Amino acid sequence: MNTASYSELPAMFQRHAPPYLAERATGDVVVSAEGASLHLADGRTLLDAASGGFGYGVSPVVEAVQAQLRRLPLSNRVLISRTLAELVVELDKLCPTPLSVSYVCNSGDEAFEGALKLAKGLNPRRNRLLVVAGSRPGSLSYGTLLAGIGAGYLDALGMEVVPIRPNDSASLAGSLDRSTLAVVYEPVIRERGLCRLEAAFLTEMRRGCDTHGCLMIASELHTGLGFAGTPLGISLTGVVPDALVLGDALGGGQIGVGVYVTSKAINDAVYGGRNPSLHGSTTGGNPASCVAATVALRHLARERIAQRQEGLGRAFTERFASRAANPESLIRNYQVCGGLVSVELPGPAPADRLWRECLGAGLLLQRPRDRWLYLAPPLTVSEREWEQVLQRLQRGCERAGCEPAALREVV
Amino acid sequence: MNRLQVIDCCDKHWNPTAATLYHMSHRTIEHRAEGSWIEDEEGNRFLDFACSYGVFIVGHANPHVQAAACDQLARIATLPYGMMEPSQVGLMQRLARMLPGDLNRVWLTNSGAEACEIALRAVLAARAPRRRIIVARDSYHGKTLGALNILGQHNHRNPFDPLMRQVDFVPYGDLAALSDAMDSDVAAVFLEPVLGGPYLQVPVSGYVKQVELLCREHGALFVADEIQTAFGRAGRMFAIEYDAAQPDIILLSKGMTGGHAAIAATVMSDRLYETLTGLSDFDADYLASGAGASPFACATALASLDFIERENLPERAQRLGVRLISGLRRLARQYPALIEEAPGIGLMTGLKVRNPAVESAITMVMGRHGIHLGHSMNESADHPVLRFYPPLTVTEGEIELCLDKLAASLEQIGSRPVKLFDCLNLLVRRQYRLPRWFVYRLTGVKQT
Ligand SMILES: Cc1ncc(COP(=O)(O)O)c(C=O)c1O
Repeated sequence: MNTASYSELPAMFQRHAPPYLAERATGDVVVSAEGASLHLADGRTLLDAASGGFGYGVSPVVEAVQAQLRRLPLSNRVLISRTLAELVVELDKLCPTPLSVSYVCNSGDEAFEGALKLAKGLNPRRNRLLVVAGSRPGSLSYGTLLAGIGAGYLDALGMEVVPIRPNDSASLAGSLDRSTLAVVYEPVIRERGLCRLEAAFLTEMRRGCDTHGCLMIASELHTGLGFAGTPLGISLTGVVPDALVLGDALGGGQIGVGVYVTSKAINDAVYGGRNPSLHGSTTGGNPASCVAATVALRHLARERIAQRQEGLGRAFTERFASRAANPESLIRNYQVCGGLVSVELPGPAPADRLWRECLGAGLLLQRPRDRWLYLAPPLTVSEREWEQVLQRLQRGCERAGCEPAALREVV
Repeated sequence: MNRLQVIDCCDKHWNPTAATLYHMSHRTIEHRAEGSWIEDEEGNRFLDFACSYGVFIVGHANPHVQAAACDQLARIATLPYGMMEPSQVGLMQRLARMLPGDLNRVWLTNSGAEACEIALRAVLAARAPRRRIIVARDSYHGKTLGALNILGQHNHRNPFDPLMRQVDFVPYGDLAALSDAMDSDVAAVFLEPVLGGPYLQVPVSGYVKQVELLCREHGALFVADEIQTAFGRAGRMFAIEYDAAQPDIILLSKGMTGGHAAIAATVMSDRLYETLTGLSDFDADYLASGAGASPFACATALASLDFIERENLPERAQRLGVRLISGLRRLARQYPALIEEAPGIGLMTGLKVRNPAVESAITMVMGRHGIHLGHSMNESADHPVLRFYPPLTVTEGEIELCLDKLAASLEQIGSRPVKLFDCLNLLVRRQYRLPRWFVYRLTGVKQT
């Protein structure tokens, strides 16, 4: 496409795109990407600290997927898939015992719904979902309901949703009962900053789920695969859920892939002795996506990405925490967990100003949520790119009139 | 890993009953594919009339689509929210232009079930406080927990029941039943313009339009699920064209990338879009997709749509479909004890058989002859339809080859007393609950 037609894209986009994309559009057109850099049609480059993805154009993944594309991208689902078998073995290696059985599908969203379906299969008559407030387990119907969006319409689904304050063991214990279908959480909640769920709270959750026979579901779309500085977010406490959901970064920046991993006992209780097509989809676990995920997982292990992510958080802290407190500063606090970073501003308007100034300085951040900004660079972001991210953040702060000198760590 | 080790991995870490099935049906490992053919790791070639129930519209590994897919991978495959990318925006516009009326708002997602879920949430909001959804009995809309709520095949729902309460099921093709079910509390009707799955049924001319009109009369929304039928499979670019029907939402997926990447779309009318965004409490994230609209899938879809249009595949499907369907009907007439009828339209065709055991037998014997068919995997249907869904690029010679092998297979199967299949059917219905050693002994599997 030539540059003349690039100029027409924003109008086409506004004409046809759904609101969730149109509302977030910056107006920038990306034509290529590598590492954490997005190359724009107008010749500028943006650094991605928004996607929380895998990273762009990581060559082992690209080459493996291209080779699979030439051979057999999707399966006709009659014969056996070696690529799928290899992926589920890799996932078994990644996950702690007893999580050993994987359901592979097209997205993290689908994977979460799959985990919930597993819970429903175990206890079809139950209709109460406990969710640690602030968790965003996905954007299909039940994920949306659990995120507290559209509850007035989604009452049709017939589920009662009970939000539990993070780390509030007493209210968790008081809310769990025999009508509870599942307890859903993210190991690190991104709501009003970052909140790590504590071992004591998760141990209570584990005990409660065992007592009441309901499923404990960890959504690791944002924390898994290294983002939290550990191979999985659940490794932060060592408390093992019944189902673990991994999402979109799993596709190696190439293809949408999602998976939930559960135990053999639970899988057998729902799907054992039943038609193998009781759950599944047309393209879930297709060869190209399995190859992408397998190669991506091996790359993460080989490159010690979790440790590198931990290093990102440290670099952020070193850069911003050492400065003296400045009462003039607009920036209040920051929080770090592995490579996950949140920054707090005095209100939504300064947060929005900082977001815009960063964009102007060549740094793409997620749109602020209230007065918080979250940095979510790709997993494979290099140290050099991260240094640039921090420089651009600093420049954005200066331009927005918020002196970063006063950042304080509050975790 | 050798074949047995691969199956063992599937057993331990994926889907144990699928592993049993692989063993007992002596399946091999897929390796590569081209045109209408699949090759396993041992070099055996199979003519693909299964096509993952209708996905490979432009033929396997279509060079034109492949080149576009690889090229896009090398540039940018996925995208953060907020960014626009030419292939993504291009696909949105392309679909809007291809579709009739004001179907202009395009949600790109990763699977048919995701597309259905967007539609379900949209209709519940746009027609609130209406809550009832009507779907056809035996219809298929996907198996995510959300989509399961509106799935008409009870064998897939039962283990998870109770689901959404206000969903009503009416017999497909029965306008009177639909009319009786309609009232002012119905938010939407979801309908496949041709009923797919193991119950393949082509409605009488005018049915789809009448459903649309009933929806209009009662203020309900009309959702056409064209996930299986669109892009030429049913002999038209979109099956709604047969009746000139105009849905409020259309769902698309399978053929869109011609089998090179997963993608789906929920396309809404401008009118519905305005209703939704005009709601005082509308939140854009109510209708979002976490990882939809990847440039990789979009570029692949654009290349596939180019090919479909350039080669006029819908017309080809209609022309070759006549040949395939008449061949299937001829054989159906020859073996009335085994085959009830041969429903079909375009290259969406099948054999409605005596029972699941007959379906399994034909699939197995055809597999030995090197032909893959779309087995329904539905042992609870009384008369499942064994599907014949070749790529739309299939040649006349390949259709003849399939029909020849089918004739030979039916001759072999027809030489057995039909009562045998009625007895076998008792086993087929319970096959996943039988002890493995028994199933393996029955099917001659050596366990090493
Ligand atoms: C008519 C119809 N709707 C929905 C779906 C669900 O699509 P997916 O399997 O991609 O989730 C299918 C899949 O077979 C289908 O045929």
